[in-house]
Amino acid sequence: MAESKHEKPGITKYADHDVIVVPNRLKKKALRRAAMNEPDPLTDAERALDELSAQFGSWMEDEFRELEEARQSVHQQGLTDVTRQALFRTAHDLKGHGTTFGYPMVADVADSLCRVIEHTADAARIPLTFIDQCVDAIRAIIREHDIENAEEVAAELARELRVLTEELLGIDPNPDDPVDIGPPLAPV
Amino acid sequence: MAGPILGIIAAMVRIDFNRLRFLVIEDNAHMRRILRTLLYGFGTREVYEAEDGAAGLEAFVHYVPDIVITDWAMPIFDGMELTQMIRQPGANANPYVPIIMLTGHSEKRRVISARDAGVTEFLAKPISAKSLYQRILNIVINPRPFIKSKNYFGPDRRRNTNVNYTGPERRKSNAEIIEQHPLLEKMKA
Repeated sequence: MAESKHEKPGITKYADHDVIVVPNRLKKKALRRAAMNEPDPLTDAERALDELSAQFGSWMEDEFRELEEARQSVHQQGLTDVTRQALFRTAHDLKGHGTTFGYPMVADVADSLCRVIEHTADAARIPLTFIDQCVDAIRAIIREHDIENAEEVAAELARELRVLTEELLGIDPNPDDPVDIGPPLAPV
Repeated sequence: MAGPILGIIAAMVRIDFNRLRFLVIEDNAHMRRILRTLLYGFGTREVYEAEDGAAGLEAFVHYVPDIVITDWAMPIFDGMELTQMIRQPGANANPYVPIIMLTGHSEKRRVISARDAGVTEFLAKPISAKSLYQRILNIVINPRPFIKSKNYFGPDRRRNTNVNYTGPERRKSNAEIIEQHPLLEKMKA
């Protein structure tokens, strides 16, 4: 949608700001009426994603390996800015990708770990045992993913770690009422 | 945009994705693969990729994409900083480019930060074909005007004019509130 020589944005000036109406080139370029009985545009994309999903198990293991490496670095070097950010970044990836890859409870546990790392101002106060519990729980959930009743066990594990997270952060556990628990430490 | 209305619109129209050029900026190779798969599944032919904010900015200048999809947390500089660099009037070929911010951060304050950096649409992980398609459809059908002020350059952060709003008017003039036509009317136009 590069600016065209022929279609300049319309600018209206006001006391403290301008309002700029940009010509909608994308609509002219790419939007059309659907033909009669035209297939749903999502079908092919969902089918392609479904075919890709055969690889999600190994992708999850790849991402867990990075989390494990980050945990090892924390054990070897302590919770420095570098190791803390690496741990946060890998946990945050698992939080974001777990559900997409079919491992929603991994996402849930990773969320607990992210919250404690992010909202504990003094890194020295983050218990290493809690980090270990979360990482071990994620490993177990991935390993036992295909076993019968694994989902229930994973959900219980995730719930317990969520409660522990709330205790560590000193807030009332109430999953229906999420609260803002302080200034963020933006991830790098 | 209200979900049901978008659903009605989606059934009435199609986007020719083969006419759109995308730039995906995401440091995680797996997520890049998923995005690429979805975009190709929609019918896109041109998907360019970058692994970090710096490479993303370079690719943005080089390929001049129609739509940018960027992750938030990335090395070198992140998706927020990238957005701020793109939203520099006169500094590049298209400071108005639609930017979809893809992230695991879904907290309200994060959404507000992304909005204030000039992000067009916010897409929280986990993503699906439907959620990505809806964001792109909204961008194509329902673009918002841009606001340029001392402190902000980006899509109008007021998506709707609330007739029941009784608080103070923070802009210096009410006249600049652009009437947002109902989506169905926009489609007919």
